[in-house]
Amino acid sequence: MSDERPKPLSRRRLLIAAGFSVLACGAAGCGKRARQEMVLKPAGDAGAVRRILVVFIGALFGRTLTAQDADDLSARLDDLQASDTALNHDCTVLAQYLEALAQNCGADGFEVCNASQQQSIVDEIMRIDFKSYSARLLSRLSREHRDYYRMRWSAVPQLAWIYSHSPAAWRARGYLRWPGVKGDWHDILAPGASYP
Amino acid sequence: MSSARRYDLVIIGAGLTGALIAAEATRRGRTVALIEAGQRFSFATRPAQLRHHQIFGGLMWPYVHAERDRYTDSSHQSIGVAYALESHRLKGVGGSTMQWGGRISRLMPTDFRTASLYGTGTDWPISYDELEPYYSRADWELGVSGSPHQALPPRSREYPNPGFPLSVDDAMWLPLAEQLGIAVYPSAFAINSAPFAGRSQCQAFAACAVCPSGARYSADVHVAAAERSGLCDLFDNTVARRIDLTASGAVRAVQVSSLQKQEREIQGTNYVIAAHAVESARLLLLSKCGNHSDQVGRNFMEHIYVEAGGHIANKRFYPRRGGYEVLESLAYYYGEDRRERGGMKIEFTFEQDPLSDMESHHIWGQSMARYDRKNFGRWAGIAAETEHQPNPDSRVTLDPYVADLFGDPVPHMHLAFSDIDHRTQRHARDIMQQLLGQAGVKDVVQDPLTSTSFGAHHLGTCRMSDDPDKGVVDRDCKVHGTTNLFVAGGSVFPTGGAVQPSLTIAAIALRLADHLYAA
Ligand SMILES: Cc1cc2nc3c(=O)[nH]c(=O)nc-3n(C[C@H](O)[C@H](O)[C@H](O)COP(=O)(O)OP(=O)(O)OC[C@H]3O[C@@H](n4cnc5c(N)ncnc54)[C@H](O)[C@@H]3O)c2cc1C
Ligand code: SF4
Repeated sequence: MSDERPKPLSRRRLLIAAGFSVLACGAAGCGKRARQEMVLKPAGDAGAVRRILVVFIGALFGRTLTAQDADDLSARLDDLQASDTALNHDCTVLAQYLEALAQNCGADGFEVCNASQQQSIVDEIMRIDFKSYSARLLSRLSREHRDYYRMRWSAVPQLAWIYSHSPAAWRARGYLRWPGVKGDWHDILAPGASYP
Repeated sequence: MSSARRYDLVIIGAGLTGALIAAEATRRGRTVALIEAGQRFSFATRPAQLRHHQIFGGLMWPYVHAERDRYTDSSHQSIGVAYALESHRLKGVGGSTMQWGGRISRLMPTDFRTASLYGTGTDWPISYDELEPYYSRADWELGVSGSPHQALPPRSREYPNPGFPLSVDDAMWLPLAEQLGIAVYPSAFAINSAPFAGRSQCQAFAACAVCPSGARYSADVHVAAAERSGLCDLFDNTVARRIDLTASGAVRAVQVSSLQKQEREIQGTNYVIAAHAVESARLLLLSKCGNHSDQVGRNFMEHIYVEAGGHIANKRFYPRRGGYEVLESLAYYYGEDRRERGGMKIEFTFEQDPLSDMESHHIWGQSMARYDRKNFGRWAGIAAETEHQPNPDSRVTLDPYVADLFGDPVPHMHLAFSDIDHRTQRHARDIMQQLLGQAGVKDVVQDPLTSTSFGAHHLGTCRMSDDPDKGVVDRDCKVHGTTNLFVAGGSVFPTGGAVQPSLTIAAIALRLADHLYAA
């Protein structure tokens, strides 16, 4: 069901999210809007979610992705969306938060944020304390909180796994071939390319 | 329901042991029923399986059946860590070799006589020399690629494939080894360095747990050979639940259930349990067979890996261009102090992905990019595979409170270390510190004091001994007190040495096949 349109977060959920956004976007000059209510935009269809997540992955690893990197990652995200409903949900929630936080920074969406805005949004996501006692308690009490924390402990590590096992990670290191791609074992007898 | 056919041989478990024995028996014209709890895997799906792993992570092989494979574990009470059985075995046609590393070692001749030589462990009732011809045959069955080396035990036949040479990364350790006076050599692998037995040469997919080329041996190869003979019936997704033993000590039948809980019995002239050390012991315990001296399930042994590593600023490695690292050393296997500690083998590694440090180091964004640039390809690691002494308290029992899919008690794991194991691990840690220091690794980020893992090598539980009071099977793998029931696999090892066990497992399987059906 990769083309199913994800449901936008409710206004109530958005307010909860905004409540958690104490550190939002300060470094990128978005602080003023961070304390206002965020207006959550639906992240769009599955394709739009993928595009947002690919940009997020790039920012998460401090990389400017090439078009080929983006295509490879997008194809893997497509597989994920198609075959794991729970993960797809977590990733969609993440995309929606990214869009909301981008709006909070005054941008039209996460994809069009500038690099420093993207970085501060990534910082905010990464600093969600999902291990705390209150996080665990709140996750049991409401679906909104569960979604909020799951996007951090489920979606983010999953996207990190996808990136680090994808051609994008290996290309960045100067590799022309990576695990899963056929080659010649005699290659190991000679030095490879250096880190660009 | 009873199977209409009566087989010459009924084998429980289609892993390395069961597959080799089935292939040998059918080669000699015997009919075989091969009972396998897990499913068949299609070779053609391996690339898709690999890609699935690269996206979703988790276990590389989708084999776990939550209810069939349930177990309990109290190892953390005795050794401080849990034993994750599900990632240390694979149930399916081909068994654990579907995801093994394929690293090949023979036990050292001294491993068969540790009690006589060092006063530790127990002696095997058979010697290295008795097993040697079977080691050589096993090399050829599995298609081992190896290079002879003086540090390795004597052999009567050359390897079937040339060994993999040292990579540029491996070569980094050579000056250090020379400086320390320790002999290093390239390990052998059950991976084809050249095309062999209809299987491709290694194509450097660097993904050996799911080898898409088939260059790495897996035991489904021998299952297929047995089936091709027309003499072997494979019962997959079928769990052996009880051995039906008569008062005279002869097995009458094996009771099995399909995963849909359809029950039947399968009969034969001889029976071999080859269900890996945990399930082999469990089946004997469930069947109340062979346990008159309370030995079944005891002396469960693993190999404990003491690992350490760090980054070397002025060196550059090229990890993950092939699927395996080759260099190892037996320099600390022996020594004056062997009465005080067990053996150990050293392996040198280079793979550690800085990107995987994201959560533990709290780094992301530009910091992560810098961290990866700084550290990728600079990792130098050492692992000591250490011996685990036989210990009656390290054991597999039945858990009376937890049942599997069929309502049978599940295996309960309880690993235990003795003082000598602690000394062995301490000794390994000292060696790690010394080697890493000499290699110029300043920031040891993986601390040998805290980093311990297991080899996924299940040994003991049905120990081989001529004395029925001290073991479960005799020197020919026959269960004491029975006439036609045999156990084979790592479960019969009286001691485990400190090397990968599967070539010894294969050699014992071939020896048992010869015993049953002399050529
Ligand atoms: C990740 C990993 C890496 C490894 N790497 C190496 C390595 O590099 N070198 C090395 O030497 N060894 C390695 N090993 C160990 C090696 O795989 C085993 O030693 C070997 O497969 C054992 O052979 P076996 O036939 O005894 O058991 P297995 O190969 O595990 O086969 C046992 C079979 O019995 C079946 N079975 C169990 N219970 C029942 C039942 N009640 N009824 C029917 N069937 C049953 C199981 O489903 C399984 O298929 C590795 C193992 C793992 C898991
Ligand atoms: S490197 Fe590739 S081809 Fe070679 S054994 Fe590993 S997975 Fe198979």
